[in-house]
Amino acid sequence: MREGGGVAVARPGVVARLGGAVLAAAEAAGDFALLAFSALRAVARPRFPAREVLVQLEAVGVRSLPIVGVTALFTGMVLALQTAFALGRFGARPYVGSIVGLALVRELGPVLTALMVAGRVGAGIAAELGSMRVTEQVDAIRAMGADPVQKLVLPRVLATTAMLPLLTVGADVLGILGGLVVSDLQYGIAPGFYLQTILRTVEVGDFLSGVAKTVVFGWIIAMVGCSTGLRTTGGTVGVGRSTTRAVVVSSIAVLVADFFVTKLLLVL
Amino acid sequence: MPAEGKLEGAEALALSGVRKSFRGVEILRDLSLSVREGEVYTLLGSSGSGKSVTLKVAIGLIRPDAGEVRVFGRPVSRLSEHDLVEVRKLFGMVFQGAALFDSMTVFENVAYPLREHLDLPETELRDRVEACLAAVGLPGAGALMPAELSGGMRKRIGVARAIALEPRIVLYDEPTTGLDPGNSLRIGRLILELRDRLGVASAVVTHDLALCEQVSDRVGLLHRGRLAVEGDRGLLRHSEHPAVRAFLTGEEGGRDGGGVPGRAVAREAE
Ligand SMILES: Nc1ncnc2c1ncn2[C@@H]1O[C@H](COP(=O)(O)OP(=O)(O)OP(=O)(O)O)[C@@H](O)[C@H]1O
Ligand SMILES: [Mg+2]
Repeated sequence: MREGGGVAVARPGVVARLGGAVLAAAEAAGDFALLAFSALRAVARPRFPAREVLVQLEAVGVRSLPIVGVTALFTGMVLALQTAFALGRFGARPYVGSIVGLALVRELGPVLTALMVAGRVGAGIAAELGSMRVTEQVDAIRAMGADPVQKLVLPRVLATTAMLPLLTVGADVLGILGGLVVSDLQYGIAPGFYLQTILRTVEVGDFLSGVAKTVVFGWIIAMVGCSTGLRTTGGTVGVGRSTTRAVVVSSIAVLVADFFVTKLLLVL
Repeated sequence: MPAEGKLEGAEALALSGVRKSFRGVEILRDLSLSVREGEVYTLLGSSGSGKSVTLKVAIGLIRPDAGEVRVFGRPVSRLSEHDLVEVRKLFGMVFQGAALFDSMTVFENVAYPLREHLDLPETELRDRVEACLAAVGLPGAGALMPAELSGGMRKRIGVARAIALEPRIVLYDEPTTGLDPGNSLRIGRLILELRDRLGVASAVVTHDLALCEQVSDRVGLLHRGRLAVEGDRGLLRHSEHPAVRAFLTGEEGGRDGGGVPGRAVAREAE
């Protein structure tokens, strides 16, 4: 009897919570779309925030270099280890460069860079805009007759979208370099030969398709960060929540988008 | 001179029949009040009674569920965010928590509305910012970052930023909370000076009864989502209205269980 009652009480609770979660997700998606649209319109507004764009270019690009560089370097190194190990079974070890180069340029360079930037920049954006929101700085911008989308969102979206491809190029280069060092020291593959195999296998199209994807990733990371940040409620606790959510959502969105964009690029 | 000028001023800001609920709790229910040009209107009310919400409704940061806001006679509550820009240029607002931009220096904070709406040469910009900083007793503070300021200093920079554009209407949300008596007096004098020199319409939300006495042309008391009483600056001293007594003593007079949950404690800062 008592247990039955407990279940009867619990059930609508679960349903209601599920419904609530769906509604909240739909609302977030709607806000995201609206924000994306306003950001697009803000590009053409007078008083383009050029200075803030420069500041963000530096914050997003230059200061992400170390973390992206280290990631790429070690990814290239471990990739060379694994590939050489696998190719050794076919006696094709000298061609490590071909596989490492292709994998880095087409897939790992773009995606790992995007994930690192999602963790660093996406979280930073959500935390900063979230704090601004809960301390009424966003309201203050509006109260002074300025547009938070133009002042805050646009510079971050432009900077991240512009910088991620550049960071990816850097990551590609460093990753290949990491592979070169391991191939040379560990397996005695001459650097010249390693680079030659890469140049022979990897085409300009491979490189471009990898870099092109990151424009989409950069946009996703910044937009998710801004949207989550500006939706923050509930004080400092809310800022923490927003930050976590921004990283989780943008990382997953990057991986999902990667599949579809890659498929699209393969068709083209 | 100010004493006679103030009553003749045109209506600058008016709220009529404003309602606002948050998550089913009605904070403002049928609130009407108006502030004239060259008038200082002080809005009192216990903590959580909706004073800050009222100011945000006035400047369009919060849209009312019902009712209307008029700025110099023009209905603004249904304007788009974009059209509101023109209206907001007429306003200056001091936020309860100052809401300074953490990422900018004090100078850039105060210069913000000037840069946004005027194309001043850099030297003139500098002069105007410095004049605003001097007006709040912080000359030369421009190079500091907000994080380096004390609470009272932040508040005063918030005032400097609000008046930088020489707005026609200034909304002050507790401008003297956390200030020493001398600086509170200075802010009070500034409010009066803006009224007398520029005919500014001021809405002052405060718990500082000394400030209320110093600056008010009219005083209103927000109670249970409505304007319960309105009067001159002596309102609190003279009125026997139950809402006034409740505000001063913290004891709820009426019986109609209000929508403002469990917070009726009036704290007079300083
Ligand atoms: N954005 C919001 N979302 C939900 N509730 C809100 C929001 N803003 C205000 N409230 C609620 O409205 C009520 C009135 O808040 P308000 O900040 O106007 O009080 P106040 O009169 O300014 O109080 P105080 O003197 O303490 O500053 C509070 O109960 C608050 O919880
Ligand atoms: Mg308040």
